[in-house]
Amino acid sequence: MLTLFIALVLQFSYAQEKTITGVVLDQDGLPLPGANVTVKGTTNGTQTDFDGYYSIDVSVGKVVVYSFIGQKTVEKTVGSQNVLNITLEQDAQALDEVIVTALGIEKKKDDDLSSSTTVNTEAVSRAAESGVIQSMAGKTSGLKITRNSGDPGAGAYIQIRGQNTINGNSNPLIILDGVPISNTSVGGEVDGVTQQSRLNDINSEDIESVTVLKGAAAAAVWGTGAANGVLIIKTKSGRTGVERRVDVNVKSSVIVDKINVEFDKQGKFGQGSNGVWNPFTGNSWGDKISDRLGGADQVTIGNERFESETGNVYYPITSKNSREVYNQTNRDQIFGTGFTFDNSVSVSFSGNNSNTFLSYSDWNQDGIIKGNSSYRRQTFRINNGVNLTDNITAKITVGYTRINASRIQQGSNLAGLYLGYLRTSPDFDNRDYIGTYYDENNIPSQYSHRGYRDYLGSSAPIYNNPGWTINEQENPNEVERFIISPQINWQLRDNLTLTARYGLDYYSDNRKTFFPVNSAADFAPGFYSESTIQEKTQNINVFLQSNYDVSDNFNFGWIVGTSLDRNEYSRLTGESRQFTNPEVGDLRLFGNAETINEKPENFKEETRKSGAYAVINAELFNQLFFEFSGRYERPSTIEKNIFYPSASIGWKFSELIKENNFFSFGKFRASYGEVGIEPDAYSTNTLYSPRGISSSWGDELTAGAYGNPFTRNFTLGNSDIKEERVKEFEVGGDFRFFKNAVTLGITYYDRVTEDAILKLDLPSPTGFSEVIANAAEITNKGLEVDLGVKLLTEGNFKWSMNANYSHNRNEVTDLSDVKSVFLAGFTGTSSRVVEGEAIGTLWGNKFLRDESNNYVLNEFGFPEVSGEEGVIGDPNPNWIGGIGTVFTYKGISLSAQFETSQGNDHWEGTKGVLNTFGISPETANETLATQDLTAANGSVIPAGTVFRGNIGDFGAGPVALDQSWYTTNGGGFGNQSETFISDASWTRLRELSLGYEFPKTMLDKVGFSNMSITLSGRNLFLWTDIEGFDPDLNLTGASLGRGLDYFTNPATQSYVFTLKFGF
Amino acid sequence: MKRINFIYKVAFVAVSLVGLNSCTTDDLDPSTEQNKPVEGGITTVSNLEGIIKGAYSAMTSSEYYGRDYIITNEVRTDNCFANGSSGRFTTEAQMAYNENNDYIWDNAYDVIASANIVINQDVSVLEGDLDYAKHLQGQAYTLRALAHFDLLKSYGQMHAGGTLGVPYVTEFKGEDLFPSRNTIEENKTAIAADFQAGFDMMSTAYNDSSKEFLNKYAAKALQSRFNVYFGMWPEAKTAAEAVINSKLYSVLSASDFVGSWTQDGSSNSIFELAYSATDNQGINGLAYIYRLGPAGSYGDIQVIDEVATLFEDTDVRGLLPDDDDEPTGILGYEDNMLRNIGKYPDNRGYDNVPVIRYEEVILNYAEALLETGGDALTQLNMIPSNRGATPYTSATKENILLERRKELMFEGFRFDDFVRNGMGVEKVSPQQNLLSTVPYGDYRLAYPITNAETNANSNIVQNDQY
Repeated sequence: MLTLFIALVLQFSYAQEKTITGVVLDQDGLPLPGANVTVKGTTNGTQTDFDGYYSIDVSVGKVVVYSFIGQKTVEKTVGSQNVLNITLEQDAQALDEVIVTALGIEKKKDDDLSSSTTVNTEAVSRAAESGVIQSMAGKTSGLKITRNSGDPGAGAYIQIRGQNTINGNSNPLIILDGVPISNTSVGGEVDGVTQQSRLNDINSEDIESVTVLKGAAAAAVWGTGAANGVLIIKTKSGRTGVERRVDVNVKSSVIVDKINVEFDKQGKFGQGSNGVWNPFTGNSWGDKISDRLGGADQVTIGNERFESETGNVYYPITSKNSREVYNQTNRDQIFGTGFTFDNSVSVSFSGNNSNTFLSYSDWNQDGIIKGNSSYRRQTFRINNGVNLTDNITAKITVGYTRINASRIQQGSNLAGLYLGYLRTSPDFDNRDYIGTYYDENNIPSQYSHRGYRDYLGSSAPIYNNPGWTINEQENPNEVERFIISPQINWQLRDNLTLTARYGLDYYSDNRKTFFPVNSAADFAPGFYSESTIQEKTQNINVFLQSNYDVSDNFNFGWIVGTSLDRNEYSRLTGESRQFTNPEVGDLRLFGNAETINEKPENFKEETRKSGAYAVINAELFNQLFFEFSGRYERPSTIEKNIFYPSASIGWKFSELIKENNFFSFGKFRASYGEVGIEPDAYSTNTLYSPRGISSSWGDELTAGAYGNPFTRNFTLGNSDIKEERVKEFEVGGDFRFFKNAVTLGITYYDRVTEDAILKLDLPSPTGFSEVIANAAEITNKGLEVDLGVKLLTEGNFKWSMNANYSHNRNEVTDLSDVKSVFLAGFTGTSSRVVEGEAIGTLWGNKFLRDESNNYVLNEFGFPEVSGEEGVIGDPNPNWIGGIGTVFTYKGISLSAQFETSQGNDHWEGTKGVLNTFGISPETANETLATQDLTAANGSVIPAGTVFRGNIGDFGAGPVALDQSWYTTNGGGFGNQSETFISDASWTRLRELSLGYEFPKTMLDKVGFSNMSITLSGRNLFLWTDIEGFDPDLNLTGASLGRGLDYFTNPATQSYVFTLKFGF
Repeated sequence: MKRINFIYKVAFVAVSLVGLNSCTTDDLDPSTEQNKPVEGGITTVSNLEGIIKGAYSAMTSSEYYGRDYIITNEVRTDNCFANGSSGRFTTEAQMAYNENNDYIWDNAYDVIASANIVINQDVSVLEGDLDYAKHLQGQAYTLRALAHFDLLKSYGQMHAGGTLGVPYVTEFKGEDLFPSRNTIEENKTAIAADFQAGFDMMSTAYNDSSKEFLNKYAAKALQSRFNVYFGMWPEAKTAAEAVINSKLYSVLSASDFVGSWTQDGSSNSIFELAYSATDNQGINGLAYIYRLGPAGSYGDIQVIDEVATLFEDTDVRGLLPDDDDEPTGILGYEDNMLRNIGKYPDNRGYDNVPVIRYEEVILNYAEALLETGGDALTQLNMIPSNRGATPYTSATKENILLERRKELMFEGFRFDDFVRNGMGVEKVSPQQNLLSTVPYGDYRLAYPITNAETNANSNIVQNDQY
């Protein structure tokens, strides 16, 4: 408040001598509202109104300075005239260099003290991705995007710099048009369906810019919740203060998706074991298919048979004669070409007193997976700005999104698509998956499910036939989301503005899962569940903002504000298993099961936050910049108030250097900031909850017989729990060379998460199994470089390039003696937290080694397994980078975007299991034993014999790697996983695009203002040593667990044709 | 005027900011619609009842009385063996368990934690029937004693040559988060005191006919079990007499016995745990492991063939002749495998599980009388004469143990009857999973403490040789 009164005093201490009026226009002759008009060397100043008019009192002989962000500044000395009309030319360099601060205020990049970067609308739009997140991949430093899968609507995970938390929320804060919105990701397990990202609910075409606040100092005004960085998203709007005009823009794209990488399957050996055909085993270690008699299989024609829906009849096979191989057929049964139609239209009204932006978009995608796999997103937006009075402007942005999607089971899941398809033996045709089974007494069973381990469909199979997975099993979801944020700007004085914003983000996500009777395993008796997730995020943010130009050499500004946040999350779930009436397969209702097999469940969580903040910034001699901010906050999840400070300093040293052709601009900056991650809701308390009993086999029971008893939670609350606090020191610089043709930004950061939250085990006699404690420490250190080069700027031919490089070293420096913390994965291989290693470290069993790191071998010459799990890999890359380039020649433009990730390890879980099953091509090699070779089971393959497998050497001479090796430690179900950890470094051509913009002269005649066609490709080339899958994917999606592949649905490459026009 | 207007605006904004914040800080406490905070969460007697029911519910879990505790104490003896059908209980049957198994450790302490919340509650501040609150506290004392007794029998070093018992926990959320093991003697004293406190605090006014909740005499009945286990014979006699003199219970007749296992709250039941159509252990329940059942099951626990010869043809606890109109006995054949088909027979796990019944109290009394020089034979013969079996002519330790074996078979008593009498587990049948006899004093007669515990609590001393 004191500052405020000082400001008041300063305001009223000046005399009035002469009034100058005029209008400020841009290069196109349009009025510039909000341009700054100040008297040089004084604090006297004003802004132009909505029509660009201004009026200022000034003495003759003084200099008036006209400035506007993105335009070149003009100075005029006051003479005899009373009217000064000014035109501010566009500042080509500065235009791209506007960044948006944490509070949504635009600022010149040159004056900014943070490492924040902006990705603009063209770059977002050019990617033609369904989601905003994916479209940012490779575009700026410090940002790592990991995709969930190539399924329609699949989400992605954003990691800014490094991982800062073990138990807490690891997602960045999303600020849309000034208010925080939800970015919750529900799910991310090793099984189930691919999860969506709620951030992708926003139509990319509505976005004007995305600013990435990477550092703690820049984000500090948001305090708790901002520790993982902030994405500031601004949606488009019309303009106010101009002549009435209407712009209509239409975009229409057709996208063709294909799988970019998939696993090869061997086609030489049939289903079976030990070289003998067996139609009931899961393995493909059977007979050599080419050695069969050929022709049709010999069958017993009797009552027992399977009649498929397509009319084919299958009888029990007595002799497998057929030499047919169905790998391609089975693949084509489930995978094909995906088509997406992406249409959007926007209308923007610009007017004297108000502006409106309306848009509608429809993304309608049928993915690469056939059957029940689709994603349709419709969005509607209306942004309206209006000048209520000369001093008050109001703005409201309203977005509505509706998603209808169908998803496919994946991962470690007996119903998983890839699992069922890849494990299918090459000699089995999956196509007839549903029909009627007749037993030996000719009694029919309808809707029987036929799969490769039960070719007559006599009972529910071990794995779903992939045809069943995509056609009979269903996982639809439906999302409806409203984001409404009104805001008011009230100019209380010439240099004092009050901004009040409210944000309401509400969505409901209804998810259904249906397993018809005869689905694999546990779901054989039928299963239906429905879950509705609702989340409401509200925020009120009010702040006062002021700026003073005290003198030529000193100006300062301040902001004080307060914010309230409230988040309500609830989930209502019901499930029915074991259908009483299996015939009503097309009804999706509860009640079709005995009471005992019906389970209702609800969950509710509410958190709130209350905070007040202040920012002070100052500029000295036009070259020294200071900024301090503080946020005082009380989240409901912690029982005390907390304070987050930040301080930044910058020196625009190029002011001291005479203008020259080599060096154009230079700024050093350094900052320190603190932000936090709050503990889970209710961590401070020990609670009583209704007691349910869950057993190890998953059948959860309610404790109904004893009424509704309560028990205390097994987690001991900790009333002293604190926020996880991220402290970061950042230094860097921004430079431009060769008349601004080359821009360079470099940032080094060193951040530490203190008091990271861990759950520590407690002895059972205490009545608890764990306690929540601030017990860990994590550090992230890294370097980020962004480089932009304008190689050709003059003439018809223009060429520019940009590149970015990011390196982050993450280390868990303290884990309170806890050996490891499981994040995601499997019993044998997982992604964990280990002291002294990076978060997400791959963990599993290894081979035993002696002091000189040689294998300890058993009597047969094969390595022994150590039996103790340990670190086997690091999924975090050593560095990531991107290079993009754009050529334009008149209306033609050609752009390319490359992206790379180096030094990241991946667990090839799928490959390992395909070894076990005898599916991977390497297991189908036929090798001549040049000497007597011992196999893993001790048997000896005599010299001169051709055997199925390979020759290996673990240090005691050649040994035979045959079925006995691949089905044990040479395969994915063995007792070690270190051999399936591989360097998954990759480089890809992320985007390639060729566009043509029709010349204005031509369009004017037909009444269009713009028209362009673009042909582009996404993910066209991938260079990696990994085979079978795209290491860009991660099975467990948005969880902290990384680098896992286990029958993850495949990734895609796409070809996009886009037509845009406007009038 | 302009200035005043301006100051007014600023003041308005300032007041609004302060106001916005101050009116909401109260709201920052966690809202807990589905949970109650432990501190100050109990305000009424019915809240207290909710907690104690939670303790009962914890006892019903499959790791405890729902299955594992009972099966483990059968499969380690000459009554039963594990056939490996689903791979369950073969480790226990071979006594080859290791510290990866948590057995009843977590569950029993779970019961104790809930009991301690009730015991530590100052009932005078509660709303409701305060006498009932006191009764509930009596139940809590009894449950605490029983759970510690079960832990002591499982993990204590009585029969493995040591002196350590288990941590005796009497506080909920106490200061001591890393408790050490007490001695066996300390445990005994504390258990006896808790049983007595339970008896003293419960009131007959709240006796419950469902038998699903403890009453005064249930505390005495359990105390008699405890006294017999530790050879405290005069105390065992007094405790059993208290139950008998209450005249609340009776020994079931031969015709009612088998049927009583499908009914809840029979006249011989003193305390049983509730299982029902809505709350049961399902595939992790007793019948699913004891029986083959019509709809498939694990069926791992088979009865050793020689057991059939223990019973006379007319004994309802044995194999009754397979006559369509007659009820079958407790033993029976399913797919030519001798099995327990009579106790907890419902394959879905809907049958209540008795924790203590009157017949055991009679046998406890008989043994106490034998040891203290009373008329043991009359008491002992109350059992065979009500089961279709020939009464004994003399009361000896052997006869009492034999009758206990017959009467309490499949209910988890056999192992305790061996060790409390200084016997190990003898390999008498090739069907037993045990490779060879485990002599008394062998380390395997005490269960290993789970490594989840030893990892989390450095004060815990592991049993020898684990």
